[in-house]
Amino acid sequence: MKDKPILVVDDELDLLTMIRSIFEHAGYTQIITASSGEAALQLLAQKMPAMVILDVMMPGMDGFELLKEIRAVSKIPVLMLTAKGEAEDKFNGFELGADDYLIKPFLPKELILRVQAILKRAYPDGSRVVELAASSVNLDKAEVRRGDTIVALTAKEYAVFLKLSENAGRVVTIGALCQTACGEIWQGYETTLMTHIRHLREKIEANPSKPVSLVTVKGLGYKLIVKEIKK
Amino acid sequence: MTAVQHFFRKYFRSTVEILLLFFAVNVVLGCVIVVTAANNSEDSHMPVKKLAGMVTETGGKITATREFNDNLIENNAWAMLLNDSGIVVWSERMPDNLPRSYTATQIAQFSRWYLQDYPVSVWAHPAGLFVIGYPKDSVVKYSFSMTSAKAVTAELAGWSILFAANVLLMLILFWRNTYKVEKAVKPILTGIGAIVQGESVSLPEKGELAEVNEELNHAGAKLQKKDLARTEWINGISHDIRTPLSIILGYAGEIEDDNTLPSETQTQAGMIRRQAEKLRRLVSDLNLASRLEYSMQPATKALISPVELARQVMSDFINNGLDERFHLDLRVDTGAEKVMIEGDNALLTRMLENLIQNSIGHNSDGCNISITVGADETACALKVEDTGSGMSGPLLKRLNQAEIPPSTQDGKGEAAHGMGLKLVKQIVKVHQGKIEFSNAEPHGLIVRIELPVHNRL
Repeated sequence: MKDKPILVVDDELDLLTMIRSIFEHAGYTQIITASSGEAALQLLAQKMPAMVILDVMMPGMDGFELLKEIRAVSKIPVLMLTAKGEAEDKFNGFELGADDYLIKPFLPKELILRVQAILKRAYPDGSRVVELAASSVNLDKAEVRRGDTIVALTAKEYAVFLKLSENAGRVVTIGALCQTACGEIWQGYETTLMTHIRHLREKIEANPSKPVSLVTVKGLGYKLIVKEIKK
Repeated sequence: MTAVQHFFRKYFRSTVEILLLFFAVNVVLGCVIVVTAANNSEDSHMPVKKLAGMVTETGGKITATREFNDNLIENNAWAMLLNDSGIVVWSERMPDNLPRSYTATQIAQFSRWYLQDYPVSVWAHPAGLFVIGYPKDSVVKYSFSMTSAKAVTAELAGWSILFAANVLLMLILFWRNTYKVEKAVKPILTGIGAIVQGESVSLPEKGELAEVNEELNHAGAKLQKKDLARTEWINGISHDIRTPLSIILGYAGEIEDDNTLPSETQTQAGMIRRQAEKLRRLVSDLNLASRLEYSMQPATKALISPVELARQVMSDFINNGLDERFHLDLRVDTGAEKVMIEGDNALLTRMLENLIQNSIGHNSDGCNISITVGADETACALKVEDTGSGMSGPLLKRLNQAEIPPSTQDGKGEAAHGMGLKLVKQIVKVHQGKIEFSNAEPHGLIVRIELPVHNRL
């Protein structure tokens, strides 16, 4: 994952240097930089990177225009860097086709986390297996292996588990999980969600009444504690 | 002469005109009344009836009393007595040039008007017609031919009508003037009110005070332009500051996480990182606050569950590595999960974030922060409560009173509760809600926000 080429476009040279430094410290090996939209287009014409990080405000061709040009030829993931106002005013709904945006100024770990998540989504490789305390879950096959037994996950259970594993170690709210499991309308679906969680726990936990992997964060939601995600 | 001077001079002149008209009408009326009265009581100083009584006929001889003669002399008058044939049978001090006999026509004429320019009064006497003559030009005679009872009634009615007409005229004219003044001044006052409220002003630039209206429009536009310039300036600063801050945050974060460096350097980098984050929050609050103040932040309304909103905000704090000295707790009252409010998700998120951040920022020793969501038929109550040090009385009072809370620091240099809470108040206002700050027992801060409920599902 970390050997994938990432193109960073920003008119601020210092910022380019810093972003390169952040990625290289995080172990990424192929960071390409361009200081203008035009330069970025030239680079893109030669070789398509795995992902583009794009500043919105640039003199000449701005981030939105460049995004349009990229989308005309490719579906590679794009992360936009933007100021707060721009994100709320113009970026509503990602209608221009950006995959995510990050508000400037940002912390190095915020940037790395976003890029990791985008790359993981865009380039799922091999069989993805989530290692838990008492079991392992194969995301590609949607099945749980606990000891010698293999149990399949239902579609709803899989959706909930996938959401939790994408945010492994982080609290996912009840509302967000309901939305994942039941679509847009999640009002009043909390009981349904609790049923899914109970079934999931029966499949992945050694002791479902004392969960150690799929833990409840009181009042807020749930959190998945993973040992590691194997590629 | 300015428009205002011109306006008031005109107003004054018209008031004077009204007064003059009023007086003129009254003078005319007064004259009529005086003349009528004088006519009715013509020779009141020499009543003809009384004088006639002083002349007596005894056995064909006519005599007058001494008092009668004195009266005539005193008033320089004369008297005569005509018999039924019009012949003067007796006279006293009668001018020589007057005839000594009169025809019926002559008698009829002088009894109404003058006898050779002498004003005269007549009275029926047992011996004939008693005539008393006054010196020339001493009495003006007008002819009135009214029957007395009717005359009095008509006169009274005339009086009343004239008086009522006067009063009515005066009232109408004053009312008309006042109305005109009000009509001219009202838009100006409305305009001033709008300027005070910071709204745009557009007064019609015509009429009596067109110049003033025009100036008010200019003033309003100028203020708006200034506000806009300020908002744009703040917007520009917060925009320009993002790249430098990104670089500071980036390198500070990297140094902080680099375990090959001495731990002291890492700690120092951590401090730089935290201060830069504070600066980031401040600039962003400042920008949003100024945009909200001048209604430049479009609020996109959507149906939001306040419970889920609180969950999201609290989860974000926990996921972003909340310091273990702080503990977050969500309490949901019965029925509150089902309540929806209509609002801007980004703004409401920011509101709760700022309140939690405020509790964290002002209680460096750590504290418990709880959000309680409650709701009834009409309102949803969000209570953010901490077990920290609370707030000073005066600061609480100011936060609860002032439309715009104190900006950064209070007079005693107390820690800044400013921009973040100002933004919270603005967001509550945008959502037509209410906010109240109070201290908790035994210590801590309670912020209670009430937002209108959209509907119950």
